Amino acid sequence: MKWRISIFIAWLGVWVVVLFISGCTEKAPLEIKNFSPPYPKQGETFLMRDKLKSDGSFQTGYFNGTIRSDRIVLEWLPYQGDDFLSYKIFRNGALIKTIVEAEASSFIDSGLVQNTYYDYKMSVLNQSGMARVDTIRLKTPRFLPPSQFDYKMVDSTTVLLFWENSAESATKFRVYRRLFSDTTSRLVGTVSDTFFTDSDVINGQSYYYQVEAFNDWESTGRSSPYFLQVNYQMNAPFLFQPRQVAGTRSVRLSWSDNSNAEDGFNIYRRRLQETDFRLIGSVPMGVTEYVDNDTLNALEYDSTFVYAVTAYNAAEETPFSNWRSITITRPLSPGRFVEIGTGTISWNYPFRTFYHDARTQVLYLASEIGRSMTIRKVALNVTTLPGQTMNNFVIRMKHTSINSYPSNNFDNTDYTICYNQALTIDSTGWIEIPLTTPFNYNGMDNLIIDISFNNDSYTSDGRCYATDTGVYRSITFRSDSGAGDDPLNYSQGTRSTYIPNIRLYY
Amino acid sequence: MKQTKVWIINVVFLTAGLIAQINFPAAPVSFRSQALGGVIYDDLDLIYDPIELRFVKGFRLYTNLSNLTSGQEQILNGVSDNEFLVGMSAQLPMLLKGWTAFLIRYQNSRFSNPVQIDRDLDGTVDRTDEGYLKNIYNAFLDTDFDGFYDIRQTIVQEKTNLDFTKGYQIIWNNSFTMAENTVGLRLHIGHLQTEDTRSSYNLGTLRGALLGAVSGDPSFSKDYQRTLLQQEFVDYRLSESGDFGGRETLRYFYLNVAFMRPVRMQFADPLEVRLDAGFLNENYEDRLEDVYEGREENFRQGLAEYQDFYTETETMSRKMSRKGRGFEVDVSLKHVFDPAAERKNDGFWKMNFGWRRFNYNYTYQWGNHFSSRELYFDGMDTLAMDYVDAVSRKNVYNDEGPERFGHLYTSVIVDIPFDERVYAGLRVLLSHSTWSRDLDNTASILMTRSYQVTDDTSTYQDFTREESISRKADHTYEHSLFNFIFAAGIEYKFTRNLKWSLRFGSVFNYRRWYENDAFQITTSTPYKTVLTRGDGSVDVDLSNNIYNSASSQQKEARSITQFYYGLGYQPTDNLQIDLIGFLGYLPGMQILDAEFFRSWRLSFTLKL
Repeated sequence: MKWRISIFIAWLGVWVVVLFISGCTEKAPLEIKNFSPPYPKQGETFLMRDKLKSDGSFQTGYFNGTIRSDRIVLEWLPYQGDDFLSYKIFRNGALIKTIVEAEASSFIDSGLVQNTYYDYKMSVLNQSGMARVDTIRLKTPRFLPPSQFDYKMVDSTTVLLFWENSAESATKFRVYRRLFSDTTSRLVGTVSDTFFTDSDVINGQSYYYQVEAFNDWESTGRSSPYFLQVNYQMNAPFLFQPRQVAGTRSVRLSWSDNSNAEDGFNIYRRRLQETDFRLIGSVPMGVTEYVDNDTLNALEYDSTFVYAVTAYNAAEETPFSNWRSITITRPLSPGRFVEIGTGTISWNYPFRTFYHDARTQVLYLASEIGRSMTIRKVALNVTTLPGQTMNNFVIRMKHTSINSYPSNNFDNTDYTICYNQALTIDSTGWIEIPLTTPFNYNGMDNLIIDISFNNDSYTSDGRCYATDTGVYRSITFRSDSGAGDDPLNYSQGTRSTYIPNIRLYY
Repeated sequence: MKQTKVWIINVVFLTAGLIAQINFPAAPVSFRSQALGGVIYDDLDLIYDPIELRFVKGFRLYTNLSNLTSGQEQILNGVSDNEFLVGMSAQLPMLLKGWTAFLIRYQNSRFSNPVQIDRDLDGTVDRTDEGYLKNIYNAFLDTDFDGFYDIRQTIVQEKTNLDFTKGYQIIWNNSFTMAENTVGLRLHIGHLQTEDTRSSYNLGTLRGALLGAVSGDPSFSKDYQRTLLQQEFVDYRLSESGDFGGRETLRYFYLNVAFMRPVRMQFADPLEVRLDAGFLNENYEDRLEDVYEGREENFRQGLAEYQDFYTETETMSRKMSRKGRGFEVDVSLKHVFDPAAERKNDGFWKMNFGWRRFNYNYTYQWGNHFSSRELYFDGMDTLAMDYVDAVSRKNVYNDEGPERFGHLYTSVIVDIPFDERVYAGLRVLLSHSTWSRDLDNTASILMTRSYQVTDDTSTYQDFTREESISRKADHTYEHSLFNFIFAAGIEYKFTRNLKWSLRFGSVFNYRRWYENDAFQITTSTPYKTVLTRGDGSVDVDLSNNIYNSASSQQKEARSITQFYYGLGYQPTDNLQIDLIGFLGYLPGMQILDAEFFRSWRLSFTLKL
């Protein structure tokens, strides 16, 4: 029995200890945590972009009807959570629609203006007030009736009407026609390209044409009436006197067009002593010049050649035009030049490649040039190489009566463009620049040489020898693609008394 | 009324275990025990114990003179708990080895409170009564002073202002001996309820001529009608009513089963080894619902279809309930080392330890519902004149979830009769109690307004606006209490015949408790407004949303010593008179004051 009592007393002791421990144990305050409301169960992007645009192009939307000239259909993945509150759609920052149906998946925004960018922002809100936002930038298509009409006679009963499409999302065109004396037009055809062959016209009649661009969802309406008088003429051109291209054996031909239905012109040539012409080339409609560069087979020095031209189309070719002959002469011997300027100023114009673009307009006096000449080449004495190739390096020349610049305004008119291509200078000393178009200097007026280049970046300046004349003989300007980004059109610059030392080859 | 509520609250605390010494559902405590710090018992304390009952000899009778309801009744002062009480204990006559005791307490009270009626609605109270009052007012008025009555006003009003207190408690205790074993069974059931018919909130919008209700108003109805006598036509009517009421209810059922077997031990012969098991089922509810309705309406003669009225209803409701059940187990050892003629005077020691566990469903709900409807129809074919404007508002707050109570305790008591005059006792108690609630807290507000122009084909003026906000949170409450009691009591019998007893008791109590309260937001929706216009377009606006979670902790420890005293007198073998608090409790009271004697708390016990 004693052990039972001992167990009981021990149990009681344990009980008391448990009571003390549990009662005296310090309790910590209850933990709380920061509450963050849940975000909508929606992906980062939920607008269906693939139906609207691709790689920055809106053609996808234009041709599936989701983007039209006056409305855009926005589609999205419907919200899948059970805590949906609303969709909100903003256009250019302004709320345009609130949708409270969770299953909604599209919205048509109408009343839009064609050819306009719109920034859409769409948000999905849940009951906690949290939102997911997706944005997209869309552009309505330019959607105007066709314009810039023109036509070409194919034959006496067929006219080819063509136009410029002004509707980006149009897929087809309806062509309407009426006689000048009628009041109503009728549909004469539907095409998917920007031309229409009307083979049912009468030579001598006048017509009004209207064209309407359309797609499966909308049309532009008809264009303004285009008046067309059917007047089919295929006559031989008139050939002007050919000229030998200076410094070369090439021959430049030009003629007048006496037809209105040609597809182009054929150029024929024969030696003086031959009887038959040989076709040497063709140019398309609208071109009335041709340069005969066939120095491999012909155009030898001191030889005479006869030229003629015809007009042609698919239906016929006109007779030969009048004949013209030319004798190929030898050019003046190269290497003759006039050198102007003896100064040793190392000037950074015209090679001012520390900037994207630069222009240098220099006045050389007739007294310095000394004679009339055909300037075929110029040379500048380079002291420091330019840091980069000078793109769009242009040399222009013109006659002038001024002896110095009275203001800092560039002279921008009536130039002959003598050189226009990229120029890389890779050695110092006199650098010769052959002119692709020689300039005929008359020996009496003063000469303006305008030198410019147009780059998209800059490096370090190049320099050449220059002479200080004491009077304003140059105007310079440079820019980092500013001031209109076209140095040929700079209006003002800075006057200078320097002129680059130059050699004019003739 | 007030005492009744206090009584109910005390019982609630006792039964729910919100006081350190868990004596749930409590049997009455004798004046002797009260005066001796709960260390030394009297017969009353023994007869409601399922084991000790068998040791109480003879027949005991307890009545309202026994002062057993709250112990605060003052017989000489007319201060009463207004209860019917009868209790007895006796050995079962047909079953010599069985004893029984019961106690019945019953109360059914209805109190009428003042009601006032302004019979002509001029702002002045014209009639005052109590309880229920109905007034019908008729006035024939000559408003244009032409010698003929022009209008008739009829006002019918009713008001009810009552309090109800009713309930009962029954204790039925039985004890049986089988060979050396004693088995006890005690059943304790109760149903207590208070009720009133007054508003606890301000209700109504006071729109137009509607007066609404303010907190404290009794339930009422009012119907005002104005008749144009020349046309014999009622052109205006106003009606208001308020159905208010609060009800507090406690129902419980407590079953206690006990087993005792004396064991012969060398150091304690006999040693009474006892096992108690108890089951409690409790349902407490404090419910309040105030409903107000108001309606104002105009009529126009000659236009049968004319409608112009405004009606509103507002309901405030509040409910707190705790429903659940629990178990307890108690093991004790008792040794009577100095038996006396009566069990209550034995010299003994007793040690026990026990465990209790209760689980409740706790609910606190508060709600405010308001709705109104305004309708105007001019009865003609005009356009854009008729409309319906309906408003609804619902504001709800809920705290709901499980509540748990756990209790571990152990105690030792030693009562020693030193001689025939001096009887002393010591008692030590150690306990640890924990309460916890894991509540789901929700709060929401929903307001809707629907406005429609009913005779306009366009819908641009129509709208429905819905404003709402809601929140969910985890509301966690923890309470931990460690309790240490050291009580001592001395009873001294004086006079030669030993019929007078002077009693002194002291109770030292050390309490240490923690209270943790945490409010963790789990879900929240901001204040949002959804405006749906007649054309179908929708606006959704959100306001700033602020989330606030909080955790608080209170720590306290207190040591308190309380002193008690009392006087006992047994003029005959059949009567025992006990007295406590007889030195008064009001400052400045003199022994020669009649109030001094009137404030005595006396208890009379009859023995046969």
